[in-house]
Amino acid sequence: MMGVVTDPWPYVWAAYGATTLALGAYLVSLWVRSQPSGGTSEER
Amino acid sequence: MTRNLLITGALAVLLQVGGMVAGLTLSPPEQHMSDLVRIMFVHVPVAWAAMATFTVTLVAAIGWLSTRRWGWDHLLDASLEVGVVLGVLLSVQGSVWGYPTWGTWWTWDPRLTSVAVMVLSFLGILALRAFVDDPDKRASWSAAASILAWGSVPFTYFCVKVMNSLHQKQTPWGAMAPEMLRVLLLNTGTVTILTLWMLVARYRLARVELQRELDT
Repeated sequence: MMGVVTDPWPYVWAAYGATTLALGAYLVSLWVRSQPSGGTSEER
Repeated sequence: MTRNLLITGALAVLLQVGGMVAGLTLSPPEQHMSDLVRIMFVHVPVAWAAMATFTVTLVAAIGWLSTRRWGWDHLLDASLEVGVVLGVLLSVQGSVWGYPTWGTWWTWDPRLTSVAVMVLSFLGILALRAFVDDPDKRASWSAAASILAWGSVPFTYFCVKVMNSLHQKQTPWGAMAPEMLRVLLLNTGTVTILTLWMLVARYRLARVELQRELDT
């Protein structure tokens, strides 16, 4: 099934890295927006 | 964010990290896909979580339109955003798997196209919510649009069974090697727990945001 590459690991790391980045970034955004200032500079 | 929510969030993240480490280490390579099978351990759970979350959006939309209780709109808001994040991640993971397997990052295959339509439909509803100032109209319009957009969810799931698709069909549970099945089930559990946590956190945020909006 593997057609065009001989080493699958860079793709495995890319998929796991993307998963970590996407979920991590979203969790951080939830935390920032839940702060009393809502993450906006004008209310600080 | 309350202390309890932070602690449960940290636990959900730890579980997710554990699931991903298991995906990278515990499963043997697959006969045809070799180590690329490890991408399935994060791709399939995210697909399940994205479709389940969009189904929560459908339930919330029906709930809002039939009761006009704000809790349903908060749930709709939360599930829309979490679902879109998962949907975009799903597409990226699929693309990273597609290149070494099919020789292309993207193709207009029925499954890939239906996922794109699904994610873009719900992304459009998120944009709609950002542009409507009246909370009541925003809730009603996005609920109606969500019910229409949800049609793409069963289509996305079933299209590989009924259409000629490059994307592989769902592998029956019994056909999978036990050591791979265990890792897949573990990651399905950890992604589900993290998704539930994100929904709860985003629901609370939606409630606070509406209150801020009504106070100003």
